[in-house]
Amino acid sequence: MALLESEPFSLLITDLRMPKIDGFQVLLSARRRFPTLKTVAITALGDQQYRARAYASGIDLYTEKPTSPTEIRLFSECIEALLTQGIHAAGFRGIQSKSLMDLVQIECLSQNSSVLRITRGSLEGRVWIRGGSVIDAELQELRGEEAFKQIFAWKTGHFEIIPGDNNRERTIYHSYESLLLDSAQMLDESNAATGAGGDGMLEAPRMSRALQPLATVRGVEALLLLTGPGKSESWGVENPEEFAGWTHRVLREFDQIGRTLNAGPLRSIEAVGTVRSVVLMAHNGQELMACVDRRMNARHLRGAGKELATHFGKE
Amino acid sequence: MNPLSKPKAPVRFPRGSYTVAADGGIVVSTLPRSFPREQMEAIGKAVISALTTARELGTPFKELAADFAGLEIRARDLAGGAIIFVTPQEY
Repeated sequence: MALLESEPFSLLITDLRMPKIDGFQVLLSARRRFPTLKTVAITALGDQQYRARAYASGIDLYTEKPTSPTEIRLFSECIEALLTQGIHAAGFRGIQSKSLMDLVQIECLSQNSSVLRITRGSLEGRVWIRGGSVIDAELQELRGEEAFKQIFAWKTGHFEIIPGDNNRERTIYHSYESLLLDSAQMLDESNAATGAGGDGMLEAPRMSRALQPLATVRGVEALLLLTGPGKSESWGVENPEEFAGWTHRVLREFDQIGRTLNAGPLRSIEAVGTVRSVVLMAHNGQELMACVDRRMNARHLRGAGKELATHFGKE
Repeated sequence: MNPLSKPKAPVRFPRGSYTVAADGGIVVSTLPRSFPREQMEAIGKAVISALTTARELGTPFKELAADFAGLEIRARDLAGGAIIFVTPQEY
């Protein structure tokens, strides 16, 4: 690092596993202090998670150590290509072919806790990720989903990944998948309406207060709460009226079966599907349908059901 | 509900499975005869109805489980029909 400060350099090549300092720390520090410096991680580790983490930290190239003359030649060509690239090309610095969507996905899939600091001109936005979930975002006076969607609409910028903040208050309850999907969809609609690919303000969908604690349950992607005859609140459900009828019918029929058999209270109904999985339950005259991550196995689905029951006041 | 009436004693349910056709009719069963047949049919019809209407809404389910305090009913879609597993639970 002292050498980097002594004179301007174009390229930093670093190992990831070193005796006294973690290569990721070197990369993060160098990226922070010398934003135009090209960075290459060279390692003996072919691990996918390392690769994802390295790219998420903003490096330009991750490569395994070349071990043959051919690999050395290819490596040299990569470095030459990297050094001749224009430094003002579009995209987020460090991952020029990747979008902000890719960045968020990499961090969330790696189950990381981090803060994405994204700048565009004088604007600075931040996205907080905890344990693989997007929990908050901030852009000037905007917070939560509104801020996330505004940042998401940026086409270019610089980013930096800084350590996570465990004390950050959670304001976002969507899973990162549905958040990205919503953001992309709203961006498409906004572009279609304006006929431009601009950074227009996007209005975030609002979630009712009653649904917020239910949305914190891991894996929950959409919710439908039937509060009375013909009354419902939903979040992320495409056709709530139809699913309200289905939920009510299924719960009523199985409740009746349970009463006839004297099988005790109906705790929940779980349905596993190829498009989505759902958990249904009723309590105090209210009926709930929660769509959960379809990749959940039966045990995790049961766990999500129990957690939902707790938040629903059923247990 | 009469508050003076005695609560019903928990029922001991048998364990077994049976298959139902698309119309809810029972095809074959390993449940003992003590398990009321009309209830087996009611469960079958509820399962088929739930799976069919969900499919019509564009959300096909391959498995559906109703979790009661004393009984679990788990059904798997069988191309229109279903296999239904009945499992007692402690409560």
